[in-house]
Amino acid sequence: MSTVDHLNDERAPEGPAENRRVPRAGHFLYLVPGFLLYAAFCLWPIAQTAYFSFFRWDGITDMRWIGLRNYLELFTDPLTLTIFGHGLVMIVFYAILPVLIGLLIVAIMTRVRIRLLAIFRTVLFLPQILATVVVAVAWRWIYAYDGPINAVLELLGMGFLTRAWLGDFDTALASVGLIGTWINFGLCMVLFIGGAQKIDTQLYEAARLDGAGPVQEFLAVTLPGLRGEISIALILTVTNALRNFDIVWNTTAGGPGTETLVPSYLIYEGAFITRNVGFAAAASVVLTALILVLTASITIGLRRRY
Amino acid sequence: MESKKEVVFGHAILLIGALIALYPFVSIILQALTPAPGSGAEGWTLENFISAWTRGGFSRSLLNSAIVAFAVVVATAIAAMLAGYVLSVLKFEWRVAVFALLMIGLVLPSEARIIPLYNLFASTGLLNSYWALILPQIASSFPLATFWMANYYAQLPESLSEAASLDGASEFEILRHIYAPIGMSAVLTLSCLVFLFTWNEFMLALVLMPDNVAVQTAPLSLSFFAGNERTTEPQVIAAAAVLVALPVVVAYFFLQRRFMQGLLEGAVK
Amino acid sequence: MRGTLSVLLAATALSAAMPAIAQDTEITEPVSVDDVAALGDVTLRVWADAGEETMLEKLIPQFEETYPNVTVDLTLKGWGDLMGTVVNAMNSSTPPDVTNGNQGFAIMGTMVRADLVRPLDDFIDAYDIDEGLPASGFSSMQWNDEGTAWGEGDTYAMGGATQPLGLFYNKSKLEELGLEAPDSIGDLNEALAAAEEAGEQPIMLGNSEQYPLGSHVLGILIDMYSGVDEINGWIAGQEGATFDTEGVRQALETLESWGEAGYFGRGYDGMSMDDAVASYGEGEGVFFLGGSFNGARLAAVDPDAFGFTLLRGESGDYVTTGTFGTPWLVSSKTEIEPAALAFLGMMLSEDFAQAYADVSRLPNKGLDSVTPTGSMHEDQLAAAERLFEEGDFVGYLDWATPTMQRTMGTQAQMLLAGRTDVDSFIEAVQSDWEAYQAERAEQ
Repeated sequence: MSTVDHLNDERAPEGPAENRRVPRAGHFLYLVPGFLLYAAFCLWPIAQTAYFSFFRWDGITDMRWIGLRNYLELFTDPLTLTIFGHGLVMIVFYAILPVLIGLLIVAIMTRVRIRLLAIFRTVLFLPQILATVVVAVAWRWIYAYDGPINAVLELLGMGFLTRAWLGDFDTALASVGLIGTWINFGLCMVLFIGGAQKIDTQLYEAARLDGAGPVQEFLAVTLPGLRGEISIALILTVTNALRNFDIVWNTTAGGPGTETLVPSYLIYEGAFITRNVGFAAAASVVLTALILVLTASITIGLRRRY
Repeated sequence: MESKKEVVFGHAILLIGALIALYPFVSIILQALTPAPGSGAEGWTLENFISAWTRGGFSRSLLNSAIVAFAVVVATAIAAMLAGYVLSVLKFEWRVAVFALLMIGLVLPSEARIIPLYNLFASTGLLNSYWALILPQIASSFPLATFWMANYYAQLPESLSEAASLDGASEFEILRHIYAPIGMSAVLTLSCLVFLFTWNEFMLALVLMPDNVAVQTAPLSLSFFAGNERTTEPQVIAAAAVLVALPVVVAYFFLQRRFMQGLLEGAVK
Repeated sequence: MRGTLSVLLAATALSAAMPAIAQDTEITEPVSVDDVAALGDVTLRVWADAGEETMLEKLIPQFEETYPNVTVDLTLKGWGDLMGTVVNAMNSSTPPDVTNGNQGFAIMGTMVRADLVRPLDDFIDAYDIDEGLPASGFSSMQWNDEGTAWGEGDTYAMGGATQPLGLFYNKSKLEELGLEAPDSIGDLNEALAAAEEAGEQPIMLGNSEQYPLGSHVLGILIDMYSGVDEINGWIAGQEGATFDTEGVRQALETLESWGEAGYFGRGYDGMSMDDAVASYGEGEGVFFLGGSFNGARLAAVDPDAFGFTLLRGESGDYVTTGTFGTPWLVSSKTEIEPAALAFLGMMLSEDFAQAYADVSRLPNKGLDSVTPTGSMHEDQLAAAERLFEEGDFVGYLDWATPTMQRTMGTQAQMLLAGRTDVDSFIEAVQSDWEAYQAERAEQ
């Protein structure tokens, strides 16, 4: 602490305010505590994983160098494309829908005084709190053939639609995806509420004086004010969509057939079931790269748009 | 200002959302209160909770989870305040490169680092210790937390620091006396998230705490029941799930009241 | 291209050969209390599947009383958690002395390959563990020294209570339908048709985990129509073995026809096995194809409402998929070997058999002497006895390759949904098998 103080005292105190923002070597010290841990427990492990991806290895006995074969296997297997395709579908359910729902809720909350707000906020955030194993079990019952969804459909006279939603080749992927929507919309909502707190009330007053309706007000004030939070929400949920594994594992195990296999399944399978650590490592590298590309595009895209 | 129609519509949407959010939770609570097959109890019973509590070692594991989560939250918040400040307010010159580097950790699937982490902790003898859970989770929370704080600070008016710096305050003093207090609401929201992620973290706990019951966390206690394939007890699983979730639900209910109240006025401090 | 590459790589690959660890001491007779006492005050570290909890609750106090210088430190884990962590734990500098493991290349194979486990042949001889047990039950626990092939070689593990797959039936429903309990696959096919006709759901199935349709149900069917050696040879990866046999075809065609006839009801792919067992316990479905381990749950509902039987295959013999139970292994690094062996010795002894039986399990020793929990358990004990006397064990299909459980599970779902046919099913399974044999050859 004192080192930091000391270094900062060295900056010319008499300089004008604008010059104070000139970067200086001492600033990097602010990064040291976090980055030391980050490098040791995130960057170094992923570097090692990248290294493992060139080997055939069971995690225990000697590693055997096989060059790019794990990657070749990954890219030549027709199933890989299907699996990554499912990952993209998951983004719609895990990221895009929750963000839209979260925005809708925040739009409402900025317009009217909500009674029992504390209770609504707690309840809407509940899905994010429950352990995923339990979420999976609960939804399995909901989607079951004799579960509440089918009961409601029967009541509405739409009995022809009933099915075991998670066990049907046509509906399994969307059904799993909607669990993700359910989990994430609370997170998005909390992020956006936090962001909306910072929006200057004068902006709303100005908009209302100009006669803006709820939609214009939302588009002109709330949405631009939340762009940082939207960006963070998308990054979190897209990441979550592509790396989430527990929900699929505990609802469908990738089935029926291969309908709900997702990329993280390949990693889990290699690391824990088949002990093909090298292949799992290659899949991790590809998945991480894919998420990086997507999230970078989101960040850049959102920055340009506003 | 507000029209009747909007009030009704708004509440209707929230109510539907709340019901959808609540339904699975309620079904789990009901399941947890239902007597297990073979049990003599009738009507509602708490025996599943008692069974889960004693056999899952929850008295110990809830405390461990709290210790780990608290340590991770505090350390992450401090590290992220420092880093977020330098990256946004001070316009650190390598900031783009730093953000790019942080991005990797933000998106990294936890399976992707688990085997190297296991080897690292095995070789340093830190397996089965709090450190094995705390250090990697500070590291993995750090990118999000830093983005969060940088994003927050960047939206504050520059005049805030200029005045202080003209008064001759050092950078660190500006952070400590101006940015840190102002950023408290952002820190608290962030802390809620990090706490939650840490509280529910399973994969790291499973692999890095292989056999020390004294340090195992609550998700491991839950998994003891949920992963038992020979003699499954849905009622006890449900009870265990409620035990894991309850502290967070209660904490969140009280915290959000205090820290998000500004919304209705849309106030900025 | 892949072939050339692998030849090149195989030529340059590091040899994985490791010096075999000399066994501390071979025993010729059971470990005595004095042998264990000579260790001084020690802690015996045990890792176990949570399914063993009730058994261990009885064993540990008894063991600590007999061997007062030993304290047992027990770590229980759910099955998936255990299998995900046990290999690393056994490889660590502080491995458990005794642990549960699993058959197949990924877990037991890796541990044998890395010399992490102690061969138990001397222990089995000294304690007469194999007395009265069919040799076919041991093959899945026998490995070559390199840990690359199983079926013969040293025996590295042993289970405490046998777990054959078989047929559960709802007694009152059979009575209503005027049917006898089936004894062969032929009987079963007739009974299923009769049940369907009477408007009952013939088979209860919950397959949301892609399991047990491709594992238990298909396994039982393949046992019915195949030769034991034929199918065991394929599972063990014998050269030239194939999944494309008459028996497998017949089994798949039968499964397909069961699906077409609607024997499994609707929505089975959306229901977990647990929920299916629970529903079956509540009286839905006439039959349930599963493991004896599903019985404890049913016995808890009503110990006398259900029956259990093995089926005679086309050959006329009782043939079924099964094991002697979740295998127990001893660490090759244990420093208190006598205590570890004494622990297993007590667990697998006839004196301790009743502790298994009390929770409706089937102790390998003492099937005929224990007191059952009810008539279903009695059926199960009798079935296991018949299996030991005149029948044969077949391995689980998913031991064939590390990815086989997924391949079988996926294909079985697709077959019943009409999204694949018998030919493509066999092709997919065989190509998984061949890919793994090629990989094994490289090791």
